[in-house]
Amino acid sequence: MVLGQNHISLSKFPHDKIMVIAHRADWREAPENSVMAVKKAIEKGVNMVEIDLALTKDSVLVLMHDNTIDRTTTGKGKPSDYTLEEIKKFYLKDGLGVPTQMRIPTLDEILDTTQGEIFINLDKAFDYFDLVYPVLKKRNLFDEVLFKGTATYEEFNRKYRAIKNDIHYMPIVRLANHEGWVKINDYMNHYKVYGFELTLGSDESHMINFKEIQKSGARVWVNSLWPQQSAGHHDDLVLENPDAYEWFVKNNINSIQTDRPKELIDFLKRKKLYSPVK
Amino acid sequence: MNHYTLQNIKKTSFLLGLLIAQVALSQTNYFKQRIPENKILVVAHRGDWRNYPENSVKAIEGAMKLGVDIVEIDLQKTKDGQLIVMHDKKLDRTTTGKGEVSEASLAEIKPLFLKNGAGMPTREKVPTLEEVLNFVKGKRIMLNLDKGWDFIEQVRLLTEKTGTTEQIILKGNKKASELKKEVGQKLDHIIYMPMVWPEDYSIYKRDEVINPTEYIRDFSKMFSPVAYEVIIKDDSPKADELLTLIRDAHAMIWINALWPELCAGHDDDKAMDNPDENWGWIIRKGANIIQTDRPEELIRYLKSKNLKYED
Repeated sequence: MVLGQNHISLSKFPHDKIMVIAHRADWREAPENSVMAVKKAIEKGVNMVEIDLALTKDSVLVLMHDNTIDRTTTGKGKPSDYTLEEIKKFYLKDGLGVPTQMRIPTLDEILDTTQGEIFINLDKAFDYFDLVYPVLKKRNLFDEVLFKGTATYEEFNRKYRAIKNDIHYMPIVRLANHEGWVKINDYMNHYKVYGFELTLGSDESHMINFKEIQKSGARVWVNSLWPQQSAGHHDDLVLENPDAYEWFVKNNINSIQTDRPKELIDFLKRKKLYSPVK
Repeated sequence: MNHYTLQNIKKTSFLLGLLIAQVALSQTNYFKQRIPENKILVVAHRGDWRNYPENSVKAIEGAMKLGVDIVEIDLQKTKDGQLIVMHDKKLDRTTTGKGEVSEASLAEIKPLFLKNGAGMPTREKVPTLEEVLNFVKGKRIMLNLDKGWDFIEQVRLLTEKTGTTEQIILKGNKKASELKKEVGQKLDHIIYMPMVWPEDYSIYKRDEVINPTEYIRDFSKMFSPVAYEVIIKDDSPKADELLTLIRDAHAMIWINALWPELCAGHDDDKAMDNPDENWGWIIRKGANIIQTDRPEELIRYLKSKNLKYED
Protein backbone atom coordinates (compact mmCIF):
# COMPACT_ATOMS: atom_id res chain seq x y z
CA MET A 1 0.00 0.00 0.00
CA VAL A 2 1.35 3.39 -0.94
CA LEU A 3 1.40 5.77 1.99
CA GLY A 4 -0.71 8.86 1.58
CA GLN A 5 -2.87 7.29 -1.10
CA ASN A 6 -5.70 6.84 1.32
CA HIS A 7 -5.37 10.20 2.98
CA ILE A 8 -8.58 12.11 3.45
CA SER A 9 -8.68 15.65 4.80
CA LEU A 10 -11.33 17.66 6.58
CA SER A 11 -9.31 20.81 5.88
CA LYS A 12 -9.52 20.18 2.15
CA PHE A 13 -13.20 19.34 1.93
CA PRO A 14 -14.56 21.85 -0.62
CA HIS A 15 -16.51 24.75 0.86
CA ASP A 16 -18.85 25.01 -2.11
CA LYS A 17 -20.08 21.44 -1.56
CA ILE A 18 -22.48 20.23 1.10
CA MET A 19 -21.09 17.74 3.60
CA VAL A 20 -23.34 14.75 4.34
CA ILE A 21 -23.19 13.44 7.90
CA ALA A 22 -25.01 10.21 8.79
CA HIS A 23 -26.50 10.33 12.29
CA ARG A 24 -25.34 7.28 14.35
CA ALA A 25 -23.94 6.00 11.00
CA ASP A 26 -26.31 4.37 8.50
CA TRP A 27 -28.71 3.01 11.11
CA ARG A 28 -31.44 2.09 8.63
CA GLU A 29 -29.18 -0.53 7.09
CA ALA A 30 -27.55 -1.92 10.23
CA PRO A 31 -27.67 -1.44 14.01
CA GLU A 32 -26.91 2.18 14.97
CA ASN A 33 -23.28 2.80 15.97
CA SER A 34 -22.15 -0.54 14.50
CA VAL A 35 -19.23 -1.38 12.19
CA MET A 36 -21.69 -2.45 9.51
CA ALA A 37 -23.59 0.85 9.78
CA VAL A 38 -20.27 2.65 9.10
CA LYS A 39 -19.47 0.36 6.17
CA LYS A 40 -22.91 1.00 4.69
CA ALA A 41 -22.38 4.76 5.04
CA ILE A 42 -19.05 4.46 3.19
CA GLU A 43 -20.74 2.44 0.42
CA LYS A 44 -23.38 5.16 0.01
CA GLY A 45 -20.80 7.92 -0.33
CA VAL A 46 -21.59 9.58 2.99
CA ASN A 47 -18.85 12.07 3.97
CA MET A 48 -18.96 11.71 7.75
CA VAL A 49 -20.50 9.45 10.37
CA GLU A 50 -21.67 10.84 13.69
CA ILE A 51 -21.00 8.31 16.44
CA ASP A 52 -21.44 8.28 20.20
CA LEU A 53 -18.88 7.16 22.76
CA ALA A 54 -19.16 5.51 26.16
CA LEU A 55 -16.67 3.98 28.55
CA THR A 56 -16.55 0.43 29.89
CA LYS A 57 -15.67 -0.45 33.48
CA ASP A 58 -12.08 -1.14 32.40
CA SER A 59 -11.89 2.21 30.56
CA VAL A 60 -12.23 1.06 26.98
CA LEU A 61 -14.06 3.40 24.59
CA VAL A 62 -17.02 1.76 22.87
CA LEU A 63 -19.84 3.09 20.71
CA MET A 64 -23.18 3.60 22.46
CA HIS A 65 -25.78 6.34 22.23
CA ASP A 66 -27.99 5.84 25.28
CA ASN A 67 -26.89 5.98 28.90
CA THR A 68 -27.85 2.31 29.16
CA ILE A 69 -27.33 -0.57 26.74
CA ASP A 70 -30.97 -1.72 27.11
CA ARG A 71 -32.48 -0.36 23.90
CA THR A 72 -29.74 -1.25 21.45
CA THR A 73 -28.28 -4.50 22.83
CA THR A 74 -29.34 -7.78 24.41
CA GLY A 75 -27.84 -6.59 27.73
CA LYS A 76 -29.07 -4.32 30.49
CA GLY A 77 -27.50 -1.53 32.53
CA LYS A 78 -24.78 1.07 31.95
CA PRO A 79 -21.76 0.48 29.73
CA SER A 80 -19.62 1.19 32.81
CA ASP A 81 -21.22 -1.79 34.61
CA TYR A 82 -19.25 -4.09 32.30
CA THR A 83 -15.67 -4.78 31.30
CA LEU A 84 -14.94 -4.92 27.58
CA GLU A 85 -14.89 -8.71 27.71
CA GLU A 86 -18.29 -8.76 29.40
CA ILE A 87 -19.94 -6.17 27.18
CA LYS A 88 -18.69 -7.95 24.06
CA LYS A 89 -20.91 -10.91 24.94
CA PHE A 90 -24.05 -8.94 24.12
CA TYR A 91 -25.53 -8.63 20.65
CA LEU A 92 -26.63 -5.41 18.99
CA LYS A 93 -30.33 -5.18 18.14
CA ASP A 94 -31.69 -4.07 14.76
CA GLY A 95 -34.28 -1.35 14.19
CA LEU A 96 -37.03 -3.79 15.19
CA GLY A 97 -35.41 -4.44 18.55
CA VAL A 98 -34.48 -7.95 17.39
CA PRO A 99 -30.95 -9.22 18.21
CA THR A 100 -28.50 -9.42 15.31
CA GLN A 101 -25.21 -11.35 15.21
CA MET A 102 -23.27 -8.08 15.61
CA ARG A 103 -21.42 -6.83 18.70
CA ILE A 104 -20.78 -3.45 20.31
CA PRO A 105 -17.71 -2.00 18.56
CA THR A 106 -14.77 -0.33 20.29
CA LEU A 107 -13.57 3.05 19.03
CA ASP A 108 -10.47 1.25 17.76
CA GLU A 109 -12.51 -1.14 15.65
CA ILE A 110 -14.46 1.78 14.20
CA LEU A 111 -11.28 3.69 13.37
CA ASP A 112 -9.97 0.61 11.53
CA THR A 113 -13.05 0.92 9.33
CA THR A 114 -13.19 4.71 8.90
CA GLN A 115 -9.49 5.52 8.55
CA GLY A 116 -8.83 6.91 5.06
CA GLU A 117 -12.45 6.26 4.04
CA ILE A 118 -14.87 8.54 5.87
CA PHE A 119 -14.74 11.39 8.40
CA ILE A 120 -15.97 10.99 11.96
CA ASN A 121 -17.91 13.34 14.18
CA LEU A 122 -17.44 12.36 17.78
CA ASP A 123 -20.36 13.32 19.94
CA LYS A 124 -19.73 13.45 23.70
CA ALA A 125 -16.03 12.89 22.98
CA PHE A 126 -14.94 15.72 25.21
CA ASP A 127 -16.00 13.68 28.21
CA TYR A 128 -13.32 11.18 27.25
CA PHE A 129 -10.81 13.49 25.67
CA ASP A 130 -7.79 12.19 27.57
CA LEU A 131 -8.48 8.75 26.11
CA VAL A 132 -9.42 9.79 22.58
CA TYR A 133 -6.58 12.22 21.95
CA PRO A 134 -3.66 9.75 22.12
CA VAL A 135 -5.52 7.22 19.96
CA LEU A 136 -6.04 9.78 17.21
CA LYS A 137 -2.50 11.09 17.54
CA LYS A 138 -1.02 7.62 17.19
CA ARG A 139 -3.12 6.97 14.09
CA ASN A 140 -2.51 10.46 12.71
CA LEU A 141 -6.23 11.08 12.38
CA PHE A 142 -6.67 14.66 13.55
CA ASP A 143 -7.62 15.73 10.01
CA GLU A 144 -10.33 13.04 9.77
CA VAL A 145 -12.13 13.66 13.05
CA LEU A 146 -14.37 16.52 14.07
CA PHE A 147 -15.06 17.21 17.74
CA LYS A 148 -17.99 19.19 18.98
CA GLY A 149 -19.35 20.53 22.23
CA THR A 150 -21.64 23.06 23.85
CA ALA A 151 -18.92 24.88 25.85
CA THR A 152 -18.40 28.64 25.58
CA TYR A 153 -15.07 29.73 24.12
CA GLU A 154 -13.76 30.56 27.59
CA GLU A 155 -14.53 27.08 28.94
CA PHE A 156 -13.18 25.43 25.81
CA ASN A 157 -9.97 27.42 25.94
CA ARG A 158 -9.44 26.82 29.63
CA LYS A 159 -9.70 23.06 29.19
CA TYR A 160 -8.08 22.46 25.83
CA ARG A 161 -5.66 25.33 25.30
CA ALA A 162 -2.74 22.93 24.84
CA ILE A 163 -4.25 20.86 22.07
CA LYS A 164 -6.91 23.09 20.55
CA ASN A 165 -4.85 23.82 17.46
CA ASP A 166 -4.20 20.13 16.76
CA ILE A 167 -7.85 19.26 16.34
CA HIS A 168 -10.93 20.26 14.39
CA TYR A 169 -13.58 21.61 16.73
CA MET A 170 -17.14 22.70 16.18
CA PRO A 171 -19.03 24.61 18.89
CA ILE A 172 -22.74 23.90 19.21
CA VAL A 173 -24.82 27.09 19.24
CA ARG A 174 -28.45 26.74 20.31
CA LEU A 175 -30.15 29.61 18.56
CA ALA A 176 -33.55 28.70 19.94
CA ASN A 177 -32.09 28.68 23.43
CA HIS A 178 -30.85 32.27 23.77
CA GLU A 179 -27.48 31.65 22.12
CA GLY A 180 -26.25 33.47 19.03
CA TRP A 181 -23.71 35.95 17.73
CA VAL A 182 -22.13 36.55 21.14
CA LYS A 183 -21.01 32.93 21.40
CA ILE A 184 -20.20 32.72 17.69
CA ASN A 185 -18.09 35.89 17.66
CA ASP A 186 -16.32 34.89 20.81
CA TYR A 187 -15.10 31.76 19.05
CA MET A 188 -14.40 33.45 15.71
CA ASN A 189 -12.32 36.20 17.35
CA HIS A 190 -10.05 33.75 19.18
CA TYR A 191 -9.95 30.44 17.36
CA LYS A 192 -10.15 28.83 13.95
CA VAL A 193 -13.30 26.77 14.37
CA TYR A 194 -14.10 24.10 11.79
CA GLY A 195 -17.74 25.08 11.82
CA PHE A 196 -20.74 25.82 13.98
CA GLU A 197 -23.53 23.37 14.70
CA LEU A 198 -26.66 25.48 14.91
CA THR A 199 -29.89 24.23 16.41
CA LEU A 200 -32.72 26.38 15.10
CA GLY A 201 -35.88 25.45 16.98
CA SER A 202 -39.06 24.43 15.22
CA ASP A 203 -39.64 27.59 13.17
CA GLU A 204 -37.55 30.20 11.38
CA SER A 205 -37.86 32.92 14.04
CA HIS A 206 -34.37 32.25 15.46
CA MET A 207 -32.54 32.20 12.12
CA ILE A 208 -29.46 34.36 11.64
CA ASN A 209 -27.51 35.18 8.47
CA PHE A 210 -25.39 32.08 7.93
CA LYS A 211 -23.61 33.72 5.01
CA GLU A 212 -21.65 35.76 7.57
CA ILE A 213 -20.41 32.55 9.20
CA GLN A 214 -19.46 30.98 5.88
CA LYS A 215 -17.52 34.11 4.89
CA SER A 216 -15.26 33.58 7.91
CA GLY A 217 -14.33 30.15 6.54
CA ALA A 218 -16.29 28.17 9.11
CA ARG A 219 -18.81 25.58 7.98
CA VAL A 220 -22.50 25.93 8.80
CA TRP A 221 -23.88 22.68 10.18
CA VAL A 222 -27.59 22.02 10.78
CA ASN A 223 -29.26 18.75 11.78
CA SER A 224 -32.18 17.77 9.56
CA LEU A 225 -33.10 14.92 11.94
CA TRP A 226 -36.12 16.43 13.67
CA PRO A 227 -38.37 19.43 12.96
CA GLN A 228 -37.37 21.15 16.22
CA GLN A 229 -33.68 21.35 15.18
CA SER A 230 -34.10 22.65 11.66
CA ALA A 231 -36.97 25.16 11.68
CA GLY A 232 -39.39 22.42 10.68
CA HIS A 233 -37.33 21.28 7.65
CA HIS A 234 -36.68 17.69 8.67
CA ASP A 235 -35.59 14.61 6.72
CA ASP A 236 -38.97 12.91 6.36
CA LEU A 237 -40.18 15.78 4.15
CA VAL A 238 -37.94 14.40 1.39
CA LEU A 239 -40.24 11.38 1.12
CA GLU A 240 -42.89 13.63 -0.38
CA ASN A 241 -40.64 16.21 -2.00
CA PRO A 242 -37.25 15.15 -3.45
CA ASP A 243 -36.16 18.82 -3.38
CA ALA A 244 -36.97 19.31 0.30
CA TYR A 245 -33.26 19.95 1.05
CA GLU A 246 -33.31 23.03 -1.21
CA TRP A 247 -34.18 25.05 1.89
CA PHE A 248 -30.77 24.22 3.42
CA VAL A 249 -28.94 25.29 0.26
CA LYS A 250 -30.89 28.55 0.10
CA ASN A 251 -30.03 29.33 3.69
CA ASN A 252 -26.27 28.88 3.28
CA ILE A 253 -26.07 25.66 5.26
CA ASN A 254 -23.22 23.47 3.97
CA SER A 255 -23.11 20.57 6.42
CA ILE A 256 -26.24 18.48 7.06
CA GLN A 257 -26.55 15.75 9.65
CA THR A 258 -29.24 13.44 8.36
CA ASP A 259 -31.25 10.28 8.99
CA ARG A 260 -31.84 9.97 5.21
CA PRO A 261 -28.31 9.96 3.72
CA LYS A 262 -29.40 8.17 0.54
CA GLU A 263 -32.06 10.73 -0.36
CA LEU A 264 -29.83 13.68 0.60
CA ILE A 265 -26.95 12.41 -1.55
CA ASP A 266 -29.33 11.85 -4.49
CA PHE A 267 -30.51 15.45 -4.16
CA LEU A 268 -26.99 16.89 -3.86
CA LYS A 269 -25.76 14.93 -6.86
CA ARG A 270 -28.60 16.32 -8.95
CA LYS A 271 -27.70 19.85 -7.85
CA LYS A 272 -23.95 19.28 -8.32
CA LEU A 273 -23.44 20.01 -4.64
CA TYR A 274 -22.03 16.62 -3.65
CA SER A 275 -18.37 15.81 -3.16
CA PRO A 276 -16.90 12.44 -2.18
CA VAL A 277 -14.26 12.47 0.60
CA LYS A 278 -11.56 11.40 -1.84
CA MET B 1 -63.29 14.63 -34.58
CA ASN B 2 -67.05 14.31 -34.58
CA HIS B 3 -69.23 13.77 -31.55
CA TYR B 4 -70.00 10.14 -32.32
CA THR B 5 -66.36 9.07 -32.35
CA LEU B 6 -65.67 10.94 -29.17
CA GLN B 7 -68.53 9.10 -27.48
CA ASN B 8 -67.06 5.83 -28.67
CA ILE B 9 -63.66 6.66 -27.34
CA LYS B 10 -65.20 7.62 -24.05
CA LYS B 11 -67.08 4.34 -23.97
CA THR B 12 -64.03 2.32 -24.91
CA SER B 13 -61.87 3.98 -22.31
CA PHE B 14 -64.60 3.42 -19.73
CA LEU B 15 -64.73 -0.29 -20.61
CA LEU B 16 -60.95 -0.44 -20.63
CA GLY B 17 -60.97 1.14 -17.20
CA LEU B 18 -63.39 -1.48 -15.94
CA LEU B 19 -61.23 -4.21 -17.40
CA ILE B 20 -58.11 -2.82 -15.74
CA ALA B 21 -59.97 -2.52 -12.45
CA GLN B 22 -61.02 -6.15 -12.74
CA VAL B 23 -57.54 -7.34 -13.59
CA ALA B 24 -56.22 -5.35 -10.66
CA LEU B 25 -58.84 -6.92 -8.40
CA SER B 26 -57.99 -10.45 -9.44
CA GLN B 27 -54.32 -9.72 -8.70
CA THR B 28 -54.95 -9.07 -5.05
CA ASN B 29 -54.95 -12.80 -4.36
CA TYR B 30 -51.97 -14.32 -6.14
CA PHE B 31 -52.87 -17.81 -4.99
CA LYS B 32 -55.99 -17.84 -7.13
CA GLN B 33 -53.86 -17.99 -10.23
CA ARG B 34 -51.05 -20.38 -11.02
CA ILE B 35 -47.78 -19.12 -9.60
CA PRO B 36 -44.88 -20.40 -11.72
CA GLU B 37 -42.84 -22.96 -9.77
CA ASN B 38 -39.59 -21.10 -10.30
CA LYS B 39 -40.84 -17.69 -9.16
CA ILE B 40 -40.47 -16.34 -5.63
CA LEU B 41 -42.85 -14.14 -3.64
CA VAL B 42 -41.31 -11.66 -1.23
CA VAL B 43 -42.76 -11.00 2.23
CA ALA B 44 -41.63 -7.86 4.08
CA HIS B 45 -41.48 -8.48 7.83
CA ARG B 46 -43.39 -5.64 9.57
CA GLY B 47 -43.34 -3.68 6.29
CA ASP B 48 -40.47 -1.54 4.98
CA TRP B 49 -39.34 -0.79 8.52
CA ARG B 50 -35.93 0.53 7.55
CA ASN B 51 -37.49 3.53 5.85
CA TYR B 52 -40.69 3.95 7.90
CA PRO B 53 -41.84 2.95 11.39
CA GLU B 54 -42.55 -0.80 11.62
CA ASN B 55 -46.24 -1.76 11.31
CA SER B 56 -47.23 1.67 9.97
CA VAL B 57 -49.36 2.42 6.89
CA LYS B 58 -46.28 4.12 5.39
CA ALA B 59 -44.25 0.96 5.94
CA ILE B 60 -46.84 -1.03 3.97
CA GLU B 61 -46.91 1.59 1.22
CA GLY B 62 -43.09 1.64 1.16
CA ALA B 63 -42.97 -2.15 0.80
CA MET B 64 -45.43 -1.98 -2.10
CA LYS B 65 -43.21 0.56 -3.84
CA LEU B 66 -40.27 -1.83 -3.52
CA GLY B 67 -42.28 -4.53 -5.30
CA VAL B 68 -43.01 -6.64 -2.22
CA ASP B 69 -45.86 -9.17 -2.66
CA ILE B 70 -46.93 -9.74 0.95
CA VAL B 71 -46.49 -7.63 4.10
CA GLU B 72 -46.41 -9.31 7.49
CA ILE B 73 -48.02 -7.20 10.23
CA ASP B 74 -48.85 -7.84 13.90
CA LEU B 75 -52.06 -7.39 15.86
CA GLN B 76 -52.78 -6.30 19.42
CA LYS B 77 -56.08 -5.59 21.13
CA THR B 78 -56.77 -2.36 23.02
CA LYS B 79 -58.60 -2.09 26.34
CA ASP B 80 -61.79 -1.22 24.46
CA GLY B 81 -61.46 -4.22 22.16
CA GLN B 82 -60.10 -2.53 19.03
CA LEU B 83 -57.51 -4.33 16.89
CA ILE B 84 -54.44 -2.20 16.25
CA VAL B 85 -51.34 -2.97 14.22
CA MET B 86 -48.41 -3.32 16.63
CA HIS B 87 -45.85 -5.99 17.46
CA ASP B 88 -45.13 -5.60 21.17
CA LYS B 89 -47.66 -6.05 23.96
CA LYS B 90 -46.36 -2.75 25.32
CA LEU B 91 -46.41 0.70 23.72
CA ASP B 92 -42.95 1.66 24.96
CA ARG B 93 -40.57 0.56 22.20
CA THR B 94 -42.45 1.69 19.11
CA THR B 95 -44.47 4.69 20.29
CA THR B 96 -44.14 7.82 22.38
CA GLY B 97 -46.47 6.19 24.95
CA LYS B 98 -45.91 3.76 27.81
CA GLY B 99 -47.61 0.71 29.25
CA GLU B 100 -49.63 -2.30 28.07
CA VAL B 101 -51.75 -2.02 24.92
CA SER B 102 -54.47 -4.00 26.70
CA GLU B 103 -54.71 -1.28 29.35
CA ALA B 104 -55.04 1.64 26.94
CA SER B 105 -58.09 2.66 24.92
CA LEU B 106 -57.85 3.44 21.22
CA ALA B 107 -58.57 7.09 22.07
CA GLU B 108 -55.51 7.07 24.33
CA ILE B 109 -53.31 5.39 21.71
CA LYS B 110 -54.29 7.57 18.74
CA PRO B 111 -52.50 10.76 19.85
CA LEU B 112 -49.20 8.85 20.19
CA PHE B 113 -46.47 8.99 17.55
CA LEU B 114 -44.63 5.99 16.16
CA LYS B 115 -40.86 5.89 16.63
CA ASN B 116 -38.28 5.14 13.95
CA GLY B 117 -35.52 2.50 14.11
CA ALA B 118 -33.29 4.85 16.10
CA GLY B 119 -35.98 5.19 18.77
CA MET B 120 -36.94 8.74 17.75
CA PRO B 121 -40.55 9.92 17.28
CA THR B 122 -41.87 10.37 13.73
CA ARG B 123 -45.11 11.98 12.55
CA GLU B 124 -46.76 8.59 11.94
CA LYS B 125 -49.57 7.21 14.10
CA VAL B 126 -50.53 3.73 15.27
CA PRO B 127 -52.95 2.33 12.65
CA THR B 128 -56.00 0.22 13.45
CA LEU B 129 -56.41 -3.02 11.51
CA GLU B 130 -59.43 -1.46 9.82
CA GLU B 131 -57.41 1.52 8.59
CA VAL B 132 -54.77 -0.80 7.18
CA LEU B 133 -57.37 -3.00 5.47
CA ASN B 134 -58.98 0.05 3.90
CA PHE B 135 -55.56 1.15 2.69
CA VAL B 136 -54.66 -2.16 1.01
CA LYS B 137 -58.12 -2.86 -0.42
CA GLY B 138 -57.85 -3.71 -4.12
CA LYS B 139 -54.13 -2.89 -4.25
CA ARG B 140 -51.44 -5.32 -5.36
CA ILE B 141 -50.51 -6.46 -1.88
CA MET B 142 -51.52 -9.23 0.53
CA LEU B 143 -51.26 -9.10 4.30
CA ASN B 144 -50.07 -11.82 6.60
CA LEU B 145 -51.70 -11.09 9.93
CA ASP B 146 -49.47 -12.49 12.64
CA LYS B 147 -51.55 -13.63 15.62
CA GLY B 148 -54.57 -13.19 13.32
CA TRP B 149 -55.96 -16.56 14.36
CA ASP B 150 -56.14 -15.35 17.98
CA PHE B 151 -58.66 -12.72 16.89
CA ILE B 152 -60.28 -14.62 14.04
CA GLU B 153 -63.90 -13.57 14.69
CA GLN B 154 -63.03 -9.90 14.70
CA VAL B 155 -60.59 -10.21 11.79
CA ARG B 156 -63.33 -11.90 9.77
CA LEU B 157 -65.80 -9.09 10.48
CA LEU B 158 -63.31 -6.40 9.55
CA THR B 159 -62.11 -8.06 6.35
CA GLU B 160 -65.68 -8.59 5.24
CA LYS B 161 -66.66 -5.03 6.12
CA THR B 162 -63.71 -3.66 4.16
CA GLY B 163 -63.88 -6.18 1.30
CA THR B 164 -60.36 -7.46 1.87
CA THR B 165 -60.98 -11.07 2.91
CA GLU B 166 -59.12 -12.43 -0.13
CA GLN B 167 -56.04 -10.36 0.62
CA ILE B 168 -55.46 -11.95 4.01
CA ILE B 169 -53.11 -14.78 4.96
CA LEU B 170 -53.24 -16.37 8.40
CA LYS B 171 -50.77 -18.83 9.83
CA GLY B 172 -50.88 -21.14 12.77
CA ASN B 173 -49.55 -24.30 14.32
CA LYS B 174 -52.70 -26.15 15.30
CA LYS B 175 -53.07 -29.72 14.09
CA ALA B 176 -55.41 -30.16 11.14
CA SER B 177 -57.94 -32.13 13.22
CA GLU B 178 -58.05 -29.42 15.91
CA LEU B 179 -58.41 -26.68 13.33
CA LYS B 180 -61.21 -28.60 11.58
CA LYS B 181 -63.18 -28.68 14.81
CA GLU B 182 -62.83 -24.96 15.52
CA VAL B 183 -62.93 -23.49 12.11
CA GLY B 184 -66.47 -23.76 10.70
CA GLN B 185 -66.89 -21.10 8.02
CA LYS B 186 -64.26 -18.85 9.51
CA LEU B 187 -61.58 -19.66 6.98
CA ASP B 188 -63.75 -19.35 3.88
CA HIS B 189 -61.76 -17.28 1.36
CA ILE B 190 -59.00 -16.66 3.90
CA ILE B 191 -55.71 -18.32 3.14
CA TYR B 192 -54.36 -20.38 6.01
CA MET B 193 -50.77 -21.61 6.07
CA PRO B 194 -49.77 -24.24 8.62
CA MET B 195 -46.40 -23.75 10.29
CA VAL B 196 -44.03 -26.71 10.36
CA TRP B 197 -41.20 -27.15 12.83
CA PRO B 198 -39.02 -30.08 11.78
CA GLU B 199 -36.62 -29.66 14.69
CA ASP B 200 -37.15 -29.30 18.35
CA TYR B 201 -37.58 -25.58 18.81
CA SER B 202 -37.32 -23.93 22.16
CA ILE B 203 -40.55 -21.94 21.98
CA TYR B 204 -42.77 -24.68 20.53
CA LYS B 205 -42.88 -28.28 21.72
CA ARG B 206 -46.18 -29.39 20.34
CA ASP B 207 -47.22 -32.64 18.69
CA GLU B 208 -46.45 -31.48 15.19
CA VAL B 209 -42.88 -30.91 16.24
CA ILE B 210 -42.65 -34.47 17.42
CA ASN B 211 -44.37 -35.87 14.38
CA PRO B 212 -44.34 -33.27 11.58
CA THR B 213 -44.79 -35.90 8.84
CA GLU B 214 -48.22 -36.84 10.12
CA TYR B 215 -49.03 -33.16 10.68
CA ILE B 216 -48.35 -32.35 7.02
CA ARG B 217 -50.18 -35.45 5.73
CA ASP B 218 -53.29 -34.59 7.78
CA PHE B 219 -53.26 -31.00 6.63
CA SER B 220 -52.80 -31.91 3.00
CA LYS B 221 -55.74 -34.31 3.25
CA MET B 222 -58.15 -32.08 5.18
CA PHE B 223 -57.29 -28.57 3.93
CA SER B 224 -54.84 -28.83 1.00
CA PRO B 225 -53.17 -25.56 2.05
CA VAL B 226 -51.56 -23.47 -0.70
CA ALA B 227 -48.38 -23.20 1.35
CA TYR B 228 -46.60 -24.29 4.52
CA GLU B 229 -44.24 -22.14 6.55
CA VAL B 230 -41.20 -24.24 7.39
CA ILE B 231 -38.86 -23.30 10.22
CA ILE B 232 -35.48 -24.81 9.44
CA LYS B 233 -33.28 -24.58 12.49
CA ASP B 234 -30.66 -27.02 11.20
CA ASP B 235 -29.85 -28.26 7.73
CA SER B 236 -30.96 -31.85 8.48
CA PRO B 237 -32.26 -34.87 6.53
CA LYS B 238 -35.50 -34.53 8.51
CA ALA B 239 -36.05 -31.02 7.21
CA ASP B 240 -35.37 -32.18 3.64
CA GLU B 241 -37.83 -35.04 4.04
CA LEU B 242 -40.58 -32.63 5.09
CA LEU B 243 -39.82 -30.20 2.29
CA THR B 244 -40.20 -33.09 -0.19
CA LEU B 245 -43.46 -34.11 1.43
CA ILE B 246 -44.81 -30.56 1.03
CA ARG B 247 -43.73 -30.36 -2.59
CA ASP B 248 -45.31 -33.74 -3.31
CA ALA B 249 -48.58 -32.37 -1.90
CA HIS B 250 -48.31 -29.56 -4.51
CA ALA B 251 -48.11 -26.91 -1.82
CA MET B 252 -45.73 -23.97 -1.75
CA ILE B 253 -42.94 -23.52 0.78
CA TRP B 254 -42.53 -20.36 2.86
CA ILE B 255 -39.13 -19.88 4.51
CA ASN B 256 -38.11 -17.01 6.79
CA ALA B 257 -34.69 -15.43 6.18
CA LEU B 258 -35.03 -13.10 9.18
CA TRP B 259 -32.79 -14.79 11.73
CA PRO B 260 -30.22 -17.61 11.61
CA GLU B 261 -32.36 -20.05 13.64
CA LEU B 262 -35.20 -19.89 11.09
CA CYS B 263 -33.12 -20.84 8.03
CA ALA B 264 -30.18 -22.89 9.31
CA GLY B 265 -27.95 -19.84 9.47
CA HIS B 266 -28.67 -18.52 5.95
CA ASP B 267 -30.19 -15.24 7.13
CA ASP B 268 -30.67 -11.81 5.56
CA ASP B 269 -27.67 -10.17 7.20
CA LYS B 270 -25.33 -12.87 5.87
CA ALA B 271 -26.97 -12.55 2.46
CA MET B 272 -25.89 -8.90 2.27
CA ASP B 273 -22.33 -9.98 1.48
CA ASN B 274 -23.04 -13.46 0.10
CA PRO B 275 -26.52 -13.67 -1.45
CA ASP B 276 -25.89 -16.92 -3.36
CA GLU B 277 -24.72 -18.78 -0.25
CA ASN B 278 -27.69 -17.60 1.81
CA TRP B 279 -30.79 -16.51 -0.14
CA GLY B 280 -29.59 -18.89 -2.85
CA TRP B 281 -29.53 -21.73 -0.30
CA ILE B 282 -33.09 -20.96 0.77
CA ILE B 283 -34.22 -21.02 -2.87
CA ARG B 284 -32.36 -24.30 -3.50
CA LYS B 285 -34.24 -25.77 -0.52
CA GLY B 286 -37.39 -25.15 -2.53
CA ALA B 287 -38.74 -21.90 -1.09
CA ASN B 288 -41.48 -20.21 -3.15
CA ILE B 289 -42.10 -17.50 -0.57
CA ILE B 290 -39.35 -15.76 1.43
CA GLN B 291 -39.98 -13.51 4.41
CA THR B 292 -37.22 -10.94 4.78
CA ASP B 293 -35.96 -7.90 6.68
CA ARG B 294 -34.07 -6.83 3.52
CA PRO B 295 -36.81 -6.63 0.87
CA GLU B 296 -35.01 -4.11 -1.34
CA GLU B 297 -31.85 -6.22 -1.65
CA LEU B 298 -33.73 -9.54 -1.91
CA ILE B 299 -35.89 -8.21 -4.75
CA ARG B 300 -32.80 -6.89 -6.53
CA TYR B 301 -31.17 -10.32 -6.13
CA LEU B 302 -34.24 -12.23 -7.36
CA LYS B 303 -34.61 -9.93 -10.36
CA SER B 304 -30.96 -10.45 -11.27
CA LYS B 305 -31.70 -14.20 -11.40
CA ASN B 306 -35.06 -13.70 -13.14
CA LEU B 307 -36.75 -15.32 -10.13
CA LYS B 308 -38.98 -12.51 -8.86
CA TYR B 309 -42.72 -13.23 -9.03
CA GLU B 310 -44.50 -10.67 -11.22
CA ASP B 311 -48.07 -10.80 -12.40
